[in-house]
Amino acid sequence: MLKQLSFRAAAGALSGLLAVAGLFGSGAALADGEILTPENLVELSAIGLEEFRSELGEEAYSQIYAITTLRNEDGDGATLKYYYGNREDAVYATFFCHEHDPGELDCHEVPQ
Amino acid sequence: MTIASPSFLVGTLAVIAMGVTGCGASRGDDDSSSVRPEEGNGSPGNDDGAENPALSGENEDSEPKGDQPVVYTPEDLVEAMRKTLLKIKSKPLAEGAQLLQFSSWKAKGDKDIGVELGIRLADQTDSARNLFCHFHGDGVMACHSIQAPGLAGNPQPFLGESKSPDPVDPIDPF
Repeated sequence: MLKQLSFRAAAGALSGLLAVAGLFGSGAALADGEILTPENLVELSAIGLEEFRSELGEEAYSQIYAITTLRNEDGDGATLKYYYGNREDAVYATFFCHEHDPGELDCHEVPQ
Repeated sequence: MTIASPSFLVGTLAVIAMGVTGCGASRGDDDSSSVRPEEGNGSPGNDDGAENPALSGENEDSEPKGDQPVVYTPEDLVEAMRKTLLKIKSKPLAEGAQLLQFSSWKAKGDKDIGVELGIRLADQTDSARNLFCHFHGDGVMACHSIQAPGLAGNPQPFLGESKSPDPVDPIDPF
């Protein structure tokens, strides 16, 4: 069974790239009307990857063979999927990230 | 560049994989030169690679170079996304189009990384583009669009929130 995971992509962690996109300033919130950019999605994928590694361990991490990131319609959240293990088994960890607090995306695992 | 622009299912996105430079973009070298702005127009739905001789030769370089087999890491999957994004930036999306999804997976017997970009067009229809990326012998990851007839209209199980993804199928066409 997949361990339940959650992580928070804080503004500080994302600022490197989100700031570039103008979404998250220094501790600022995702401003009204602004949405996650493609750059944000890629970096969110990278952050989630590290979280996956720290929580599921090196073995599972080394077995990752596919990553998908999908922004939601409103643009204030995204779904991340990390496929690992045998491809035939199609095992993946899913995270749903959504802005709850200003400048932060809360990411929670969605059970497969 | 070659573009597979399938009109797929739940109509969520369109995809492209291409070269971005970004941190960790290469294994040893700056990869910015591998990002060729002339590749692809970034606008979903167009298969420019089929008509543009300047782009048609991309796949001649479809095999990884170098003596050692490349073992792609999860970071490489993300890096391929970054490279794809850079290429898109060189040619903005069509007006009103939004890039909603990235998919990156080990393909072609793990010798390449397939990348797919899902794009929602202004008319709310979806399109996808596919590219593949691999490291060259010089350690630079380069991304190319796919010229595989079988890919046109290829269902993209990765795309769409309501579709249960099946990562096996999209790998086979490579």
